[in-house]
Amino acid sequence: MALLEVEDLRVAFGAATAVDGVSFTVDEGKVVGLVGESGCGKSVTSLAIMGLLPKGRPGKRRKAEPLQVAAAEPVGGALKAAVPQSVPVAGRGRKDGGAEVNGRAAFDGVDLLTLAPSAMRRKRGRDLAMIFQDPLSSLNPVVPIGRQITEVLERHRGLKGDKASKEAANLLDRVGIPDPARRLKEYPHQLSGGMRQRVLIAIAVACKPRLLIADEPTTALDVTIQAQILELLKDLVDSEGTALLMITHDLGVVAGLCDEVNVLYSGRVVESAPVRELFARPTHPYTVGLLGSIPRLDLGIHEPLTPIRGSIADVIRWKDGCAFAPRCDRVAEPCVAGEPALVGAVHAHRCVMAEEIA
Amino acid sequence: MLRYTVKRLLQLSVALLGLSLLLFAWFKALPGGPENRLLPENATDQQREALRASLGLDDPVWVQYGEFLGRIVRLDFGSSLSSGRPVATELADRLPATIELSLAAMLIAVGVGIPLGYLAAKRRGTWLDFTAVSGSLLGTCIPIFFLAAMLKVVFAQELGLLPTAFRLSAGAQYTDVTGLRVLDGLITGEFDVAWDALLHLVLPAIALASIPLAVIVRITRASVLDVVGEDYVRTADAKGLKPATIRGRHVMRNAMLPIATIIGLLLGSLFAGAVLTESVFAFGGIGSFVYQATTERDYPALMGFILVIAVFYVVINLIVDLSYGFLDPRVRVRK
Repeated sequence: MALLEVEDLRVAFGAATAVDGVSFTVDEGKVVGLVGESGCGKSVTSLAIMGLLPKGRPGKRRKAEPLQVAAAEPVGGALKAAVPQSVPVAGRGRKDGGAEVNGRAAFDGVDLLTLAPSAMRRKRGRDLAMIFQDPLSSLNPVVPIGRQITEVLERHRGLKGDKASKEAANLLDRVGIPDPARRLKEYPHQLSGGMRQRVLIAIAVACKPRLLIADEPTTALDVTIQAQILELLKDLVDSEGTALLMITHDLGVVAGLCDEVNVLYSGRVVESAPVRELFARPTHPYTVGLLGSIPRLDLGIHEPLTPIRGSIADVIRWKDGCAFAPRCDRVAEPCVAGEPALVGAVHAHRCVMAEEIA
Repeated sequence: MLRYTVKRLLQLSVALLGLSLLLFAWFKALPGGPENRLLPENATDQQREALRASLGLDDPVWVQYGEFLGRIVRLDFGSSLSSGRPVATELADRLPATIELSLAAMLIAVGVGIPLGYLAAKRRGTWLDFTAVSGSLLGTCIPIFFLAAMLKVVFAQELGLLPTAFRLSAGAQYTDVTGLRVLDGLITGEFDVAWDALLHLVLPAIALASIPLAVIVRITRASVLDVVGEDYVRTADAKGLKPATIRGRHVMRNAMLPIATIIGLLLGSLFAGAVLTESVFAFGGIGSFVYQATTERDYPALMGFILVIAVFYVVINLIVDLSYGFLDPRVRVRK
């Protein structure tokens, strides 16, 4: 049985649908990638699994603001650092209107979506933990980092006082922060970006979770630091046997880290395959487009990149045909004739033209 | 932290020095010097000159300012023109009542305002939020003397639940320790006195608390709404922490920053409100004294009052600044 089984996950904010029937599995000890551009629903998917989406007020739900979807970002390459990532909903806008979450996200056989809030709180941080995108805003500016680590140890492992501090220092050492005992007393603003992300990782792995969800953990970091952080994640996952759900728009990260990949477009999985298979035989035109827009060292410097034209639509409409059709170069009659199904087992895709294209 | 404290203390003394200059200039600018008040109208110019010399008024301005500063430092504000007693003594007699009233009002404003503001933010859009917000609007709108009078009429005169005026019931025996009657009663073990003083304190304190309470509710609500949307609150949630921990350590600790600033500013302005409240309830604080001094142009008394208030204001600001350093580690680092 898979450690995490997401089945037909649907998330809507009022009238706006963010995730429209996403299914995938994460096996024990495996690294699974969730790839797609901003607004495709990958962050919302992870937040839904963690139970961190704002709850709608039952009975008296107010009309939610339509989901803000950022323009498509260039995928991979150096440009991406310049594009601010916006996680829809999870930011400041979340006071208004809650999320309506449907489907199933079974963790070890237990559906997380129907779990009582208090039971979910006992699992969060202990069995499944999350690493966020922006390490500065994700750490409390007025609490020493040591306390931000020990509070998890206290809550889930019952460690207190000196024992907790000692363990926190061990964790900082584990994630590669020098002089951990001194660092414990420091505040987030006194650390560098890479160090802050290491602290967030230390917090996430503090209770040896079985599933780690990393939401774009390297997006806010310098390229050299990115490599170090990815190396650290890989090392932690390998040594502890933790399963990792890696959310990213960076196919380079996927290639280096993941065992399996799910490509998301407009709230649905459009292709899923083992990582080598995906890079060797990308089937869905969107995946092909993503791969084509990565700068490559083996091409000449004057060779232009091939961007995917247009940007992701802010309304999800799979009902009347493929949502990618307006941006697809190979669009044909059958594409807009109805809802495309996800076909295939090990290497699945959602493209009715796949056979013709191949 | 020490560096930060010293820096703030230095800034504080500069502010006070500036104020003393202003006050000195004000005194110099007052029409008709003291010699006109002290000498008969038919005094000769010679007599005037002699008096000015004996008062030091013909010294260079900076020498006069130096002497002025020296007197202030010795708390010698001169004698009140109306009572003839030293201004410092008059103030010392009345200050504790005002302090007690202001503290009680602030206690109410903070103790009710912060939880109410928090609840309003958490239950945003519900009747509780609506009541808190519109109530606080009302609180800032009602003039304080009107509210004080209404409270007095309804709860003291009509319903007879609470005393109408003064700090203690007539004939009450008490031992003076700090001048704050409730506190004194508790210290000396005269609990009946403490209770009596508390009953006398309730209505004026509520009247005086109305504006700061309203402001604190609104600031807390806005600040909490701001903070709950922050990423680090989501991180705290992702850690599976208990709601109480998230509220205390992650939400309120950050939300307190703007609230602390406002509380400091409000404390200063409380003294102004105290003047009005005290006169309604005959509370016997600094308020009635200042009222009298203003109507009778008792300049030494006014000067003493202004200086005392200024020192209070500056000291409160210092406390706020220091609490800021305590609350926000980013303020502490040297630039």
